[in-house]
Amino acid sequence: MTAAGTEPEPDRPLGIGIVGAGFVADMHAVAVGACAGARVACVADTDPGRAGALAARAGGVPWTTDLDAMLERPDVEACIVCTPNFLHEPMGLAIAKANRHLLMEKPVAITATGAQTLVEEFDERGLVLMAAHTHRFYDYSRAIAERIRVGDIGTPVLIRCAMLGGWIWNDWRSWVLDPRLSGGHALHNGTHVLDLVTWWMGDEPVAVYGQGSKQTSGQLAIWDYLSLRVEFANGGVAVCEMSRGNRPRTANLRDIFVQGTRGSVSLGWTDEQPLAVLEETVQPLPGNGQVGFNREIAAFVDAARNGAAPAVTGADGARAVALAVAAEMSLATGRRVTLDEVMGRAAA
Amino acid sequence: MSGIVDVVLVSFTGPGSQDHQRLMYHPALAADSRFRLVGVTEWPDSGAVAQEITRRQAGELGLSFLEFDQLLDGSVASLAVVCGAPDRRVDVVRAIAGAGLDMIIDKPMAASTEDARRIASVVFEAAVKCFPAHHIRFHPAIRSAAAAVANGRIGLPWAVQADFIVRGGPGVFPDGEIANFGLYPIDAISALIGTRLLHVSAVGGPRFYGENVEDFAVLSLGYEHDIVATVTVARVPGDESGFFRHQYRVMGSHGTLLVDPAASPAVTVDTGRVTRHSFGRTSLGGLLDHVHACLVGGARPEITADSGVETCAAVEAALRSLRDGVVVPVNERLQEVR
Repeated sequence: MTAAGTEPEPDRPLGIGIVGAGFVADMHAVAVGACAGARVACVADTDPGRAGALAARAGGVPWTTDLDAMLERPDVEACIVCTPNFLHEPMGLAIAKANRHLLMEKPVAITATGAQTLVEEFDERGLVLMAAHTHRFYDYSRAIAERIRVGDIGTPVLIRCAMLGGWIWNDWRSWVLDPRLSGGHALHNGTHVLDLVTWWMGDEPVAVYGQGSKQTSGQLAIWDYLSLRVEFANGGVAVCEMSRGNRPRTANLRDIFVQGTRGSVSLGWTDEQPLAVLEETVQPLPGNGQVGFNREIAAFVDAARNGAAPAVTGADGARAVALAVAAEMSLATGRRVTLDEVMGRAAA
Repeated sequence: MSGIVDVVLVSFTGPGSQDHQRLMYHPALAADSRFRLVGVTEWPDSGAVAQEITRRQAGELGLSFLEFDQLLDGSVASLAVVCGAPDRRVDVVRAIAGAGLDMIIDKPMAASTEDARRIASVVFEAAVKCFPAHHIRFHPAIRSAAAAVANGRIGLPWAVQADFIVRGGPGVFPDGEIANFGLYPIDAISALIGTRLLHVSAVGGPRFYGENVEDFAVLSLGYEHDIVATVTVARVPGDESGFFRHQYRVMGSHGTLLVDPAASPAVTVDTGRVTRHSFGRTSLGGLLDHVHACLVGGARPEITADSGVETCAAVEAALRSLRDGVVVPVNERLQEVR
């Protein structure tokens, strides 16, 4: 697979341009630095201070405030987009038109049409579009997937997946709190859980019923607690929770349970990390979150450079977006929303 | 007053293959010195098969078989434990309440919300106490959690997540597991958060046993104050029967409660094979504690026939939602009227 009209050079590290230099871009930059097959070639951000700082941390690489300028560089063969969510679609389209591979931060887009358009644009050009659903690359999610894959529990029927945290974005200036910019919490963080349960269920989702609350503040325009019930084509059902409003905010509760036709697999709150009983709280010790990013970059580079199948496809990302859009619609209307309805609206 | 309550067991049949008198109520009451089992009876119109079953059970348990009319003179017992077909409950309850007996009624309290309302009216007019056997709310773990919520330990609750999954047993309930199990976690959540259920949405189906009714379901519940809850209800295959996963997570403005009645209180024994042994009061024992406290100690009942109406209405709404694929409102709240 060749990006940007360059000749493939398997021994040369893949040159990656990082678009957007905020919090998550640092994780990606570290991951690229840890990957023998890749290097950060350039950083782009509209804020020159932020772009320059990340470029410095990435080893003194070039930086720019202009995406088009980045895409004119021949050493940028692939991109990682880490911008606010509403920019994913236009930036993804620009990157596709520049013939570069793309690892797109979740959500792939904030509309079902936008996500589907991106998938088509990259497919038509034979380019890799990989959705950055990082949770698929952690040991815990892979352990669940492996027990399902080997057939221990039969066919999954019922899944419960809860990720319950208490941190909210720093203050009211955060773009994530504006649903016009983030798409809402179902898009911004819900996609992680929606993607995981779809992966584990191994089936196509067909409908969502969403419940939630604006827990941290009644002034929120997004539901920071989500309880989403996803129905699948084979009759399976998943209950997905994603919260930024839980108390105590440091507990980081996680609850995963998959009931199959022959048995179940579960991962409780304290089943992965040692439990710390502290004066202020009780919490599992934090794991190494960087691991997932490192594996994700390695998989992306393998797909872009060697033609390996992307570990998470653009279609996976678009499916998660459609689910999240359905969830937001359900939250707003109080009724069950089908994926056909979402995609029908997308086509209209 | 001795403080001992004389009890008659009414009917040894139930929906499907259930015999809760034999499996639950008789052993619990026989082991409890505050209650005295004085006999067994059967509703006269219950049919020859039910009559024969109940007579046989009376003999096997060493209890007297009483004609139903004997119960109605009011001197034989002060408490009736009512099982039998739910669609006959209104007539049975009317007769027993008319005789002035208090009663525990096996779940579901009635075959329909309409019947449940009739029962509530009958016992209200007769001024007798009626305890639908929603015993799960009396499990010590749920009692502790409910008290913690009521005392503000987690602040204002805003969401509950619950699993009520049973492994093995006699097979799928003939009317589906929403009708069989659904009322237990719904009632337990009511005990935990004490707010009114407003609407229900349900999905599910037959996935484990291949019957024509649902063996698993997911209920999405909406309560007053925008509290949301999700309840999974299922019977899954397995050699050992019993609770497999029975949990409640109550999330509040200032904390979270993790309640696991299937796992605690219990000790773990490891002899090469790990086993768990629960200890302390059972949920049914907790129900009997409450009934005794109400009948003898003058405590105010926290479950009444109206509780049975509310859970019947919730279950009916869930079944309607399952059938029609829509969110169904629940409009029951009788205590506020009376």
